[in-house]
Amino acid sequence: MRSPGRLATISLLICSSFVLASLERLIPNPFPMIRFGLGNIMTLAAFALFGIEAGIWVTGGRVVLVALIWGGMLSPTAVLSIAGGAASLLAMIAVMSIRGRFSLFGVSVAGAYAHVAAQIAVASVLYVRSLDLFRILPVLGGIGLLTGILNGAVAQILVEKMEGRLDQHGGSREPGVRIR
Amino acid sequence: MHGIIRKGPTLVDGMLVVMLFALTLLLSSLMRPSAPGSVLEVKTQAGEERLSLDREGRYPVSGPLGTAYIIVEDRMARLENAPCPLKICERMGPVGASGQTILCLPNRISVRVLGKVSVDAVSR
Repeated sequence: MRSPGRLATISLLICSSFVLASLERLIPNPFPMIRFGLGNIMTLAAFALFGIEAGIWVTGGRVVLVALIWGGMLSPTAVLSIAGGAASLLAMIAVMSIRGRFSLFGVSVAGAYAHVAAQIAVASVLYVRSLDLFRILPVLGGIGLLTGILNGAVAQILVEKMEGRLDQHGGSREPGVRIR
Repeated sequence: MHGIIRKGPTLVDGMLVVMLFALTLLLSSLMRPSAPGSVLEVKTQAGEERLSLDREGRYPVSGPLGTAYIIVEDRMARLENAPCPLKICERMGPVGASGQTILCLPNRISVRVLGKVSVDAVSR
């Protein structure tokens, strides 16, 4: 059932995801390779509220919007963000397919780690043509674990707040996937 | 009400984090900082050239966005005056240990420190 409420909420999640990703770019950061991945909070919320397909829409939408608005549709930066987005989606879906065991914390951590690993792998293969870049995987991966846990916590709080509201308005949410 | 996502953090979440943390530690122990390098391998769209880390100086390197400079000083190298928007490459330096790399994706430049390699006629 594709209700207008569901569509509107997923659209809002995509927009919020884009705004968070943009804010993150605006914050001065002495280490540009280190990212919080705030946009992923909205993907996690979409997974929990509306299911896997909605989460794919949110990450896909964010990647496209960021590339459109911030420029560089086919630049190396965009290629890396597509690779990171795709890998984190795959990892998160894999984790969720182990039904009823993981919470948004685990999903988020899996996504963050896969994002980092995929970006390093793609940059190594396409642009550096050596394995040197993997030297920073321990650092970026460790930070990814931390940001993954934080994002998971924020996403869970957000989902709990949204669940109540969405249920009040009735019918806007797909049953079957929910935090319990 | 059968959910596929539980309220967390769950025990399995914890196991995943511990596993990834162990993997991270394992990887970092495999990649200890290596010996000081002696030669820079500079790759641009135009091709590849080598510079000696012993010779201090300011060497221009060009990419699709323009020219940046490799500064060699105290057996360390860094990029300066990079024309790319984010200047991540400038902050990746200085590098001096074998295996360290400076990378500028927008401008398609990579500078890698090599260990003991004979510096051939290309060095200047």
